[in-house]
Amino acid sequence: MRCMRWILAVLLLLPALALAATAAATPFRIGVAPHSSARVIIEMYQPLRLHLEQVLQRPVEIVTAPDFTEFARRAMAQDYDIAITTGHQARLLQTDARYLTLLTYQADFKAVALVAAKSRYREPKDLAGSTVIGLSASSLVTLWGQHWLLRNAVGNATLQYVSASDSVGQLLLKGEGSAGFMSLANFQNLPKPVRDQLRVLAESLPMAGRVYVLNARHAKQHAGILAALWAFAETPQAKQYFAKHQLGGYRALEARELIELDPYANEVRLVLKPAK
Amino acid sequence: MHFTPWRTVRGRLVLAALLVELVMLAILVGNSLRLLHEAMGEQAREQAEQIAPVLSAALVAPLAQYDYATVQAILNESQAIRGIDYLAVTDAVGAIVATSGWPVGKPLPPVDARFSLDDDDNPPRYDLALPIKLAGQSLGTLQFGLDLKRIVIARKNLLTQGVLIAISELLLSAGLLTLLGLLITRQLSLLTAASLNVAQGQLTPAPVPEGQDDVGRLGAAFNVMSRAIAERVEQLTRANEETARIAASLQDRTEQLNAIFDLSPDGFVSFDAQHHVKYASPAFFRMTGLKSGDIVGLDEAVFSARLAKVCLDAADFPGLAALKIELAASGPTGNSEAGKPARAQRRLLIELSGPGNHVLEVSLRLSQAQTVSQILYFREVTHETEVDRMKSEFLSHAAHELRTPMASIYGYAEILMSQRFSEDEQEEFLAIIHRQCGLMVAIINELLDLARIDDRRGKDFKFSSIDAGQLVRDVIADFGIPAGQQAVVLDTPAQPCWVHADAGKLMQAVRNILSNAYKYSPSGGEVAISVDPVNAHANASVGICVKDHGLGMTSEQTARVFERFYRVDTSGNIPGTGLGMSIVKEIMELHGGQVEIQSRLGAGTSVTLWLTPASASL
Repeated sequence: MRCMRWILAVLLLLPALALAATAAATPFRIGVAPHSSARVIIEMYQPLRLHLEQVLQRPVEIVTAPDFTEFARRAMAQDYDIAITTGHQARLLQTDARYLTLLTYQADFKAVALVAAKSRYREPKDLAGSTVIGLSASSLVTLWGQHWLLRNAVGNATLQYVSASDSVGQLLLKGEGSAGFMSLANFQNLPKPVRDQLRVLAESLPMAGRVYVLNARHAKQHAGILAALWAFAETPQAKQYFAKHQLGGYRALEARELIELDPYANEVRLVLKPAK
Repeated sequence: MHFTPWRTVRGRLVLAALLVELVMLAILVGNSLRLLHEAMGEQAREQAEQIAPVLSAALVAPLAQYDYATVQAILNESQAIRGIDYLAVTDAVGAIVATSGWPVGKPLPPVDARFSLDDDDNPPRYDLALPIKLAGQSLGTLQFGLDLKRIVIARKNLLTQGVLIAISELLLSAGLLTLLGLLITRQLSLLTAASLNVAQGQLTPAPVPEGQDDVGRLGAAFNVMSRAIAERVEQLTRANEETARIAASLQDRTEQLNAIFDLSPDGFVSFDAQHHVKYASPAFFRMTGLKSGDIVGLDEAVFSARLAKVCLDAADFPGLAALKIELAASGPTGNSEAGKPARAQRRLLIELSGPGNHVLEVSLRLSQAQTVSQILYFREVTHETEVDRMKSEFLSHAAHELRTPMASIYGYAEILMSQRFSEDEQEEFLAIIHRQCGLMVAIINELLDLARIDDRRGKDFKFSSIDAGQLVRDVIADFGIPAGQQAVVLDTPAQPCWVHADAGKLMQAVRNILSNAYKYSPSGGEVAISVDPVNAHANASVGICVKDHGLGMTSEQTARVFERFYRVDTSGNIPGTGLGMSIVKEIMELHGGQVEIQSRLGAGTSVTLWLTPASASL
């Protein structure tokens, strides 16, 4: 009888073991919203990748997407085990894709509206009828900018999307656009000659900029992975990483921070909604 | 004789030069191919090294973004680069995410561990795979194939053109070397041809060209040599002809000697220098019954033993050693002159034990020749010794027969001279002496008759046709019938029976057998004589038959009746000389006739003289 129990136990454990083996061979995928170029993103998150590989004892890969909309679509399709994205997409993933929140950076995330320093655009109303430049229809800074234009009653502004913050700066300097939206951090990372020729026309309030959310299929490991992230924050590599990118370290995320971004999340939801 | 080209010096030099050139050209072409391979391989690797970082950099972002459409676009653009056969990108887990120039769904080819133009790829291709990494993170793998068709074609062209150039070079070199060889060795060819002519028997070849260089001096030396050879050959030819003539002469002489040996009744056995039997003549083998294999090769001692073994008395032949001792002892008479063969003087006779009891005279002759040490000579003397024996026996018998009457005459004459006897006694003694003298006269006459017959062998016979019946009647008419005996019963045919005969001799023969018939019929008895007609005998046509009824003879006595001095009566009561029947036999043989005797002891004897008819003899 005891023998039969053992055999039954082994038979029951076999699928679990096979699944575990498959999981061990499949990379743990961390999707990072394309707030910068893919090369920069990959290099930036290597310390975290290496740490998680060591903790999870499985391959970990950093991936991104061509743009925020595509990133949101993939995240919604459960492509990522951890998604590191802006707060409004994190809110969307939390509500619509059952992702679990983990933490965020201590540094504030702000969006800025930039114009060329020598341009004629001194007030929001100067932008009326001009072309403004955003990163992506789904990016937080672009959505904030759209909302900012709306709040400032800027009429007939045409929005042009580009792929990178650098491009926004260059286009503004060339006069291809009247104003552009990017994060404050990206603005500060622009080359100084470029930055010196730009002027901040408006700045947002602090927002949940980059939020770590965990795919619900790893809900049981939520605490472990969260602990691993906190442990990473204590490593020299993490401190160097935080310092290099002026992130200040990790902090816990308050629930309200994502809820406040529901309007922006809804914008993304609309973008992702299939056209009828 | 014709040498194949590669067996000539010129041919071998050309072959050696071509072989060296072939090796060098093979090395040249092979090295060119190797350099091409290495250069092309290096170029391919450089091309790969140039392409890979660019593509890798271009693919990092789309791979990190999972932007496979961009990856595909990059691959499509890159595939336009000349020399790239295909491109493919796999993700971090190895799944193909984009390909260009490679069929979708088809597994990617294995990556080549090293550059090689001889793989089984079709088309020829160098497959490479490079990991796409960023900051240590593997984003995927870029695999691409460099098209090697141009390199393979270039190598093939290089090989083809290299081989063609090498063949052309070899052909040109072969022609040039052959021409040079011909120019350099043409005199050697003439010299070779002349040497072959000499080897084939033409010993006076045409002179080859001469000159001051090595080959020219060789030609001069060859000319001198060929002239010397011709002279020597002429001398040898003459010597050979002389030798052949001598050999022919020797052969002729040998054949003559062999014929002489074959025909000679005398036997010879020669010994070589080591005193082994070297040769024996056919007559020797006939005489002794020995075979060539029995004696040839034997040394003289063994040969002596073998010869003694066939003698009736082995002691007759003392052996060669004894003969040589005896020869040496004979001194000057044996070998009086230096250098002349020595010959034994004593006559040595041996009687052989074989059929016929041959008696041989043996003599030894020593030789000074190098190949023959001695010759043993055998002469058949069987008949000679038999004649000697018969003569001695005859003389003994004659003396014995003559001594008997002589003793009687001598005794009675001595008594008459020493004593006085009455007249009757004297007459009786004188009558005895007279009778014995008559007997002696008869013996002497018959001896003389027999001697004359033996000596003349019929040469004094006077043959003519004689009537046998008449001859018989004449004999009876003159024959004195012994006292107390019956007259002869005569039976002759009425017609003449002609025979070819000497009348006197034939009458003597008839008289002898008629006399014997009466003498061996001491008790009387009829004595008949008849003449048988023609065809009474197979060989002789006419038979004169004398038949008595006297003592008769045994078969042994009948067999010996023709022996001289043989007498059937050994008592001495019947007078006779023992020569009568011998005389009859001699006469009949000289007539070509025969004597037939049929006798039975105690019943009488019948003697028939068979003669040839006169007509048949003519």
